[in-house]
Amino acid sequence: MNADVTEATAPPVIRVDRRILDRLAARGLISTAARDHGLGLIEPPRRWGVWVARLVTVLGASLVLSGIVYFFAFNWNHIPPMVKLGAIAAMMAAAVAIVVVAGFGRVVSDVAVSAAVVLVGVFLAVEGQIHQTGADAWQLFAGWAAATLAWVLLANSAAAWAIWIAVANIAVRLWWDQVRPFDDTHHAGLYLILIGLDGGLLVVREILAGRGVVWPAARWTRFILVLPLIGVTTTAALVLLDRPRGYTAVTWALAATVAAVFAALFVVYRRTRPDVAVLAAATIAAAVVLDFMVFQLLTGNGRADLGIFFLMGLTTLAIFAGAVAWLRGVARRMEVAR
Amino acid sequence: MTGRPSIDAVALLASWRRAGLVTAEETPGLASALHAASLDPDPPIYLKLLAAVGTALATVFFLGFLFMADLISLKSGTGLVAWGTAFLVCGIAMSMALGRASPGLGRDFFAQSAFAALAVGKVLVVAGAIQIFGEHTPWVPTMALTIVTVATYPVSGSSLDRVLSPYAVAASALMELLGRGNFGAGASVGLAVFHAAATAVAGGLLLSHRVPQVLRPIGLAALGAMGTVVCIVASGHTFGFWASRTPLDIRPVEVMLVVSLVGVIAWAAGGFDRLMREPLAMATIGVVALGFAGAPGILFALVLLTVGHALHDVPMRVVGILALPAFLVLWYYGKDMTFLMKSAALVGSGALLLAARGFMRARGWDREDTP
Repeated sequence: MNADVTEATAPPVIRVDRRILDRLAARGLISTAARDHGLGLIEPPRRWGVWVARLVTVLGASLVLSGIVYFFAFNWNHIPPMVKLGAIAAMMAAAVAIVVVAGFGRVVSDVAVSAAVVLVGVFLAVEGQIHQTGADAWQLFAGWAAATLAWVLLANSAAAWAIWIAVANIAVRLWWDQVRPFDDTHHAGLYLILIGLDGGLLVVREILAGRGVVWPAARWTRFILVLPLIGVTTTAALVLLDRPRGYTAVTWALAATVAAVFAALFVVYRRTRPDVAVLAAATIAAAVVLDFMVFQLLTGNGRADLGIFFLMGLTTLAIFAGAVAWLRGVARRMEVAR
Repeated sequence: MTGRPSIDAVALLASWRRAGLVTAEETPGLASALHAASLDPDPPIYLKLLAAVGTALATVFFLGFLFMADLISLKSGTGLVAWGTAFLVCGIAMSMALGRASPGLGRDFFAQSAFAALAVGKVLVVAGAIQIFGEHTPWVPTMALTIVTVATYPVSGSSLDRVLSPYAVAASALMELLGRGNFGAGASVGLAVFHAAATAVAGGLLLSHRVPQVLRPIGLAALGAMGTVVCIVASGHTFGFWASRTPLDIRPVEVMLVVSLVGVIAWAAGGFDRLMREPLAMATIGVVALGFAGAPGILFALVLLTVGHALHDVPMRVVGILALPAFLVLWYYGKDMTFLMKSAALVGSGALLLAARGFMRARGWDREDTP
């Protein structure tokens, strides 16, 4: 019997998965042929040729791009400036030409657009090294994001968007750290703007996917936005709870935003766009935040004594047991609804 | 509720009957067996993680309580073992009683408490054993971990605990071999023996559907032990020198990884005789070439990807996907070459893979459904 999750009620219908089939086969209750037949019904047969071809394509393209970045990062002293910039520009032109010839919506175009987006960053970095202007690092990333925004908007490529989102996040973080004053609201402001950026993009992603647009509909595109959003929201919550005094308007706004983000995640991914994996990530984060909140309430932000440790042990067990029970029930209802 | 691809039991039984794989007489017994198996589901990974995070936090709080209350002293080995044993007995009793507990929130709290009690007990018993026998006495942590794992594994209700405990045994054994040099034949031989044992256990327990499910966590722990060895030998320029403080000969590990990947390909294809087919023969040649390139991490990541893909195991595939770029970076970082040569090697190997992709397309292998 699995203790980390137990069933509350008998399932309405018996669902058989690979694990149950393997268990019956291990006990000799079914033959290998029956097991294989059952597996064929449960899981589609693996298309190994397609899988290997994709793996080799992605790996090969990544290695070539890494080699180019590596080359310019470490050998630039030995290359004339115009050759450096010219070579990168030529590669960008080649990538764009591939997209023009192949057209949008193909794997080769996705790889080429992604390469072009990376190469713009390489071009700006090399240009910054040749003609040093004393500009801050955030300007490189901001320029990179701005220069490639039109491409990613046109390309309808999830991979290119993923790269752009990473660049934009770095630009925002560096801008805030290098430009904004380091006062009481420094961290709160950064958390607010990051939540706004990733949360806003997540909303756009969900709207587009909901309207049947194909390219952002892949499930991984949700996770590359949800996980950073949950990460920054949880960090913000823990920081707010750690210093619960002297709140300013910005910190109050952050507190409200954190609560709104958690509420929105639970409502949207339970009701509107059911996704148990996102709910699980949000539940783990919320349970940790709740646990820390109880700890702070008990200690009054001071030193924890003997009784508090014992009480917190029991409270932690209760919070997480409740979270497991809730999530298991929700997952079952989602499965039945499907 | 499994969260994994599944089929209705009634439809499955009907399909078996139509295919002549099950007789009418066998059907009622199989229906009962399917019902019994469905009442003891394997929880999805996210529920295991949620339970594990809660247990880890609760364990810290309870240990903090015990030490602050002066109930336990780190200087008293017998005290630690006594308290640890008490917690283990409580944890085992609660785990055994779980089967009779009524389903619901109370049972979840009970299960979580049992998991936490076992975790606290294991920590205290191992700490006590080290205190009693002295921290410099060889193999004491490994022996203590083995004893508590053997004692709790059969009754432990948590599948995550069943993975982590055997992995802790393996990790402490590796520490004795490399960190403390407690293997008579030397660190390199010890590492090879360790890796061979881990490979045998992982392969034997994970690749055969005839193995009871209860033993699969040990296979996953062995896979984790293989990954730990690979991380050590793949890190930096010195191939694990930092861990052993003596030069390590990693060739046996590399050979074993090549054999493992070829074996996994044959297993996924349905037998070693299939390796004679042209696409698989080319894949085997590629694996051997990768072995000569000295890339143990990349070989291991490909093992994970292949096994995960074949078993439809999403967590294993995710680990493989994350491991592949990480080990690629380590490989290129660890190579003793100039930067110019490294960038050429990167572009060259990438171009080679893209050429292989073109070759696959020309031969029609990229449209093939089965190996």
